[in-house]
Amino acid sequence: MTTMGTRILTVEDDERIRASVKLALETEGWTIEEAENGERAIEIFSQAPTEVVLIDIMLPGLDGFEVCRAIRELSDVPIIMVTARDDTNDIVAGLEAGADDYLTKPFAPKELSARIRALLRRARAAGPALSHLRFGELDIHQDEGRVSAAGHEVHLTRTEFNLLCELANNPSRVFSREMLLERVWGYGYFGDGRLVDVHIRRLRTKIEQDPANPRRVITVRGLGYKLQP
Amino acid sequence: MEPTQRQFGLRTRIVASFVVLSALLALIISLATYLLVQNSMVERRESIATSNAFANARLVRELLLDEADHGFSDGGDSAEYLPRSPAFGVAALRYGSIVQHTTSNFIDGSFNPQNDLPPGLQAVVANHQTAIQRVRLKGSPVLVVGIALRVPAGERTLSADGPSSPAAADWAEYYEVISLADIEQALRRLATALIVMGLSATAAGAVTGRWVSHRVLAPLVEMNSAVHALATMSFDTKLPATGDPDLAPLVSSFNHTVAALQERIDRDGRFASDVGHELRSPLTTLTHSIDVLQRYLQEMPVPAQQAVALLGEEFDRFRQLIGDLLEISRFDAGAQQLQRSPLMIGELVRHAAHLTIPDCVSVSIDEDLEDVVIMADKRRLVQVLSNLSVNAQKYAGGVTEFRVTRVVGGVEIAVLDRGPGIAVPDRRRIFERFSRGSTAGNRGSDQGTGLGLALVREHVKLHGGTVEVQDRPDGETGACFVVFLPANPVSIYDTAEDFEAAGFGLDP
Repeated sequence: MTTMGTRILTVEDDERIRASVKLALETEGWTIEEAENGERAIEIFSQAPTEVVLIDIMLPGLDGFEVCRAIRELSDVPIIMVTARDDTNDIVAGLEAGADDYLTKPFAPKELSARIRALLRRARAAGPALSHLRFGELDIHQDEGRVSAAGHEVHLTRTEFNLLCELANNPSRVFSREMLLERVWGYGYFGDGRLVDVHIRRLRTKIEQDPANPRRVITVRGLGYKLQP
Repeated sequence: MEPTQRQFGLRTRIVASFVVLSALLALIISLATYLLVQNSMVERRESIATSNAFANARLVRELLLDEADHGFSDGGDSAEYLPRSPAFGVAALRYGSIVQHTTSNFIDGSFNPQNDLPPGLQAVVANHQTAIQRVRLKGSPVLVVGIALRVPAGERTLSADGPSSPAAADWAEYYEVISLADIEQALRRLATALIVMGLSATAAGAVTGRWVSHRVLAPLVEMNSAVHALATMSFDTKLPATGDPDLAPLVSSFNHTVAALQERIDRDGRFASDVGHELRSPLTTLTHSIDVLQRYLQEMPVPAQQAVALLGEEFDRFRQLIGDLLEISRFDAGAQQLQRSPLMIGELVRHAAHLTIPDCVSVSIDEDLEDVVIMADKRRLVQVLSNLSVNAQKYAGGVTEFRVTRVVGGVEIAVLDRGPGIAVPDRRRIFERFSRGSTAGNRGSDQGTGLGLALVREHVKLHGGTVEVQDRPDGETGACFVVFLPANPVSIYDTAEDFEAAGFGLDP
């Protein structure tokens, strides 16, 4: 995949970080839009949506979570939260706010590039993927990127959609968190399992009739998750 | 200074005091009661018996005098002088050759006043005096009253050749033996009752002592558990307010201390977090800037290339050090939390082994651990294994084997190398911060942060486990780091109930 021309919005109040990230990412071939606060970020994004958004959690005024939610309202664009703390609450809260992934400062430019690439990539179906999958009330149009549950269109983010396709292309097969991290996020074994857990939770609230008692996206204790046909 | 004697606890001393005090009181009261009752009973019996005896004696004397007037027909022996049934016991009379006694069921028939009555008493009475004595007669307690009766028979004796007069003497000896068995029995019952009461009082004293000591020591016990909780960094421990004026100052100063400590630790925690945040921002800028520099390395003059290479290397180490410092400062602030998730322990060790040294390291995993899942923090376990590998790389030429075994209460991960091994005295010390191997001092190209093993210990401790260095089990040179993780391993083929029981409830 070429990175040329792919526009990335970075929301960061620290001018030096903004400048260095821009330098490094542009060296990698991405095109960078900058915003020094949340309001500006939302303004830029609503005028000309970018393909990826990078949001620092600690921002003056609107904080990173609020910016993330606002942009999520507008688009299913991949969002990466950036945190300067290992505070586990921050990370989970960022994911709950709709982020697709997170990075902890100081992250390396190569790592950031890898994250962005993984998020932009569509789920690769193993074997010949069927463009349309149907499980009871759940319809998945893989080629159109569309999902409907009980006849109603469901709006999924790109990562949620990729996750669902990964599970749906192998119904009943149990995927460990590590497998899903690798296939959906491009992490190796050592990725953070909470990414999977939070996304599964979000997916359930969108496609399950009773998210507390899921009937499609099932937890297999100690192993991972599977899609029940 | 060490106390040389064994000290008894406060509780023991309080209870003992109560026991001793109540036993002493019970003893005094019992003794007084017993003696008072005994005296009054015996005295009463004595006075009645004595006055009765004197009345009887007067009667006997009258009869003797009467018989003497008649010149003691039949030698006086045929006459009955003694009362037929003395109120309390046996009566006996000796007057010259006349020796008579009655019988009673409380003394065997073989009663012989001459032998059975106390000789001392007989001597006193023979000496014309009255005597009272308490003795045991054939095993039963009796009161013997001896009365000397003056019978001036001599004046009335008619002739020397008449019927033999018993009145060789002017004096008769009259004895009454009164049984005290009923009194003795009553006193024995009283003594039994008093002993039972005394023991009960002592027991009650012990119970009261326990209760009192419990009441008195309750604040101490409370304080002890509070201090204990404090030692485990749980600062929400507070002693409940008390109205007791003796305890209030202690409670208040304890709570103040806890609050001050809490604030201090919070401040330190905040400081570490703030420092972390403040450090991470410039580090991010530096990371990205150095990356750009390295990308254009080829376009730089040679000295600049060398400088950038040095900068890059040293920066990596600096970044690692900051990361480790921040991590360990979070342990100090007590702000660390486990992110437990179900992990296939065999898979984890294989990945970690592969990540650190891809070549020629053997990984052996107990067969029955292959499909087993434990609840643990993946990031921390990976760091533990990675730090142990880095350590082996630095000092021992690298890890040669990872070995995972199932042990009682959990799993054990052994990390083996073929280095020089670690001397016994160093085996604890190496887990301390910034302690380096005995070859330390010479930093050379040392890439470590000095915190690797300290972090290993902290991570393992957070899991409730232990880490230690041992000799290689095969006896060859080298070190064997053994990490024990308490866990309830569950096979992936087990039932959902087994997972619940193994604490997998956190699993979303």
